[in-house]
Amino acid sequence: MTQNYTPLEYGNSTISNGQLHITAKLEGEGQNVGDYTSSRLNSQKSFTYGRMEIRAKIPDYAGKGLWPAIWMLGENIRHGEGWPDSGEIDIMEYVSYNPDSVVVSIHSLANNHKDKTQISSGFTALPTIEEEFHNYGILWEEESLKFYIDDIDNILLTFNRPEDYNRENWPFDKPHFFLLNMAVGGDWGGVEGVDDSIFPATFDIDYVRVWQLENHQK
Amino acid sequence: MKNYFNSFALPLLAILFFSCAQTESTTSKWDDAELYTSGIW
Repeated sequence: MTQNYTPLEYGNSTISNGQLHITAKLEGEGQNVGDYTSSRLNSQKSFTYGRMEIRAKIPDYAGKGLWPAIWMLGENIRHGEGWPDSGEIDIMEYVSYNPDSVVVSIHSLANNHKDKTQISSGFTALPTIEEEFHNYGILWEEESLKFYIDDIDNILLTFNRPEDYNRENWPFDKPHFFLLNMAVGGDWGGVEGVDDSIFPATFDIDYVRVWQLENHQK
Repeated sequence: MKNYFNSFALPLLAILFFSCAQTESTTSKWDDAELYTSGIW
């Protein structure tokens, strides 16, 4: 099963106290497609290179089935280029069937989960992920992508540009846009089912910030 | 008298130097980065 992403008026995404709140709700009887609603926000602006940092708190742990994510997709996917060719940068993913952990990864034509060749941190322990806000970020330059948690010196994963780089293994020289969402179930979040007792569940985002080095500013 | 300076101090100084140099290069580069303040969404 999966969620339906709804328009703004449905109240799955709200702003209060300076924070964005994405709330997944149980709208039907449960366990069927269409019984859950949630929200996904795509940024209008795309960026190439920089320090991207998102301060967020995933829902308090209550059970299985949630899949909140902070990620970026290559702008070219909006212009007809397919996935994963256009590139994907997963700054934070969490699946509630495996609590107290976070996953970061990249996808390209050469490295993607469809072929089980993605570059990923795998499940990495973050015991306070359900209780506290954390800073999830990347340091993205011409020759590397580094993923950090809370502090830029706390690097979780480094993916260096291959020496023989090309469009298939390094689409990360082109603009990418942000996505913030919380899926219910799905092909990863739902592998151990969805507990209907966990709703509503809210994913809080305090800020999305981008810093750019002088030679990267446009 | 035993030469403690050669046996201990130089390796320690070298480790200290390279540790500090590495930390500074990561941090200082991004300290100079400029926050993007136009609309993202």
